[in-house]
Amino acid sequence: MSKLCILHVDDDENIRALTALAFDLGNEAEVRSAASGAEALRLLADGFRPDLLLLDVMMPDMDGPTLLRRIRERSMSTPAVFMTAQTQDHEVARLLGLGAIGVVIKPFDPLALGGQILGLLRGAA
Amino acid sequence: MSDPLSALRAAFVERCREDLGRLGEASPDDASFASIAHRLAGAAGSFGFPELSEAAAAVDHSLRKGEPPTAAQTEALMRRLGQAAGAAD
Repeated sequence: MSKLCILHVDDDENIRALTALAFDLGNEAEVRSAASGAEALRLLADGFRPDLLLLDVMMPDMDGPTLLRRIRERSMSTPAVFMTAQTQDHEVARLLGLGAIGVVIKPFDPLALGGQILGLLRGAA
Repeated sequence: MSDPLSALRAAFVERCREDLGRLGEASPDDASFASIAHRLAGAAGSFGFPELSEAAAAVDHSLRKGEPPTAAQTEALMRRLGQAAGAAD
């Protein structure tokens, strides 16, 4: 079975590096990173087809929910997980209502991230 | 040779030093202040600085409500950021 392929979009370079390392250490997935929604849309337009979208919510130029809507407009149903520092129940419910299969609360434990994401994917299957 | 997580933590600490300088020159009304507080709230705990995440989250929460952070919140953020910036790489 081929390794899971993730598109991670976050404007924070430290978090992009940590997320890629977290999945690499666990040998659980290959992560391709984008620093903005526009960069992510370019990758997808060029034919990149991840198994999962991992999207930061608060980004300066295009937020995660807007990016997910733009991706869905391209008829792509790739499962999506949001990452957010907003812990309120209503915010998590709002994000799930946008069609995400889960929400990862930041800050996250890098050593537990892979298991958490794989668990969300299994739950959504 | 340091492990990969240590290298990333060192990069985060280096950025904390930059943030300390930028926050010291900014007003809580500035967009850059809110941006840094939000980023630290989401990231610091993942690099082993949970108290910095909590202090930044308190400031971020106030700003999101349209309220200026209290002096105590700002002081706590700067103190925790200073501690992280002084952490050994």
